[in-house]
Amino acid sequence: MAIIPGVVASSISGHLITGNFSLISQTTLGSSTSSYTFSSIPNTYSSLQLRLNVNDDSTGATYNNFNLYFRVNGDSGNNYYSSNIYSFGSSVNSQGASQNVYGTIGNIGYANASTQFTGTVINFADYANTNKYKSIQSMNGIDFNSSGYGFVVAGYSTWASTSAINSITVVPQSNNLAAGSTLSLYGVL
Amino acid sequence: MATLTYVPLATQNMSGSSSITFSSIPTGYTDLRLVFSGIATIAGYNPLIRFNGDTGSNYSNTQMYANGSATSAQNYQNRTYCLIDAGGVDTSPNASVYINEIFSYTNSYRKTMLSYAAEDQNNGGAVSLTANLWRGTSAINSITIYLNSGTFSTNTVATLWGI
Repeated sequence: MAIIPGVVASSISGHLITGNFSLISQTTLGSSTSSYTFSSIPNTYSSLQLRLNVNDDSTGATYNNFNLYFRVNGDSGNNYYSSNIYSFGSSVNSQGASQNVYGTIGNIGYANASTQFTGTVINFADYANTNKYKSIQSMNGIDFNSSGYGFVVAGYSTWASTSAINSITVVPQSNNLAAGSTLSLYGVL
Repeated sequence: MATLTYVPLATQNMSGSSSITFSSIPTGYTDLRLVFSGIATIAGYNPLIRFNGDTGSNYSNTQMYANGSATSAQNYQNRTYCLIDAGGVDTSPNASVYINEIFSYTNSYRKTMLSYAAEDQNNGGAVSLTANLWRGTSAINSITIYLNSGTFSTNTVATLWGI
């Protein structure tokens, strides 16, 4: 299938800074680690967006399909509720978890961690409001390099606490976050 | 101190064209977000995406979607493009919305793009979430959106953001 010539927007320049979306903190892992924590998150934004391009560091499999979790403020109590709809292979399914010790972001896949990663966007709405529980929305997915497998996940979690969120920890269900994984936290005004 | 980001790099009206290319994309961001609101001259054809002009069989797609009362999932291997929807673009005045998150677009690994599509088609459309893989390991410096048939109509607008 050939591309029919059309409009070309070339020589992109003149960046406009809107001031409504700010990078709070970012890392690209130099080596595998069991989890990563964003701490001392300021309470001056209306919401947070966490963007991940991560994988686990397991080896020897064509693909893996583990959960990817988050925990806020170091809370290890049974205060997380999660639901999601997902596909793996040719079927669409849903799952839920209540009174869990982690919130579920989605899944994390291995398809040779040195070559590709799982993309994820997570939104923490009204994260500094101390009058309600916190709502977290996420989407993530990966295609396992034409192996015939991959997954996509659309999820929702509640953290049953009225505290403002001041730290977020990302942790895989199994293995470690692989070297080369990039984790970025943004504040939205 | 936080760094301001989420910068609009370019916006294009795609009226009368079957494709649009964002080229000379700068490397100073972590991710890209491509958002477009599409209207087509013929209903039901798919908008597709390629990176860096690569027309080889270097893409694969994993998708789940809902169409009417049914849900389904599919996986395509060794394709020549990124699949970003399930139902096809509708005709005026119905506009379809496509949001594409391109992660770590300058790194030396294969690239992952998450695509969300909403295509109501006046009670006959689809919603979908797709994970695309491009096996290219070069930085993404151009993105082409094209229809597999027909052309885009007036009021079709695409914006590329740097994040």
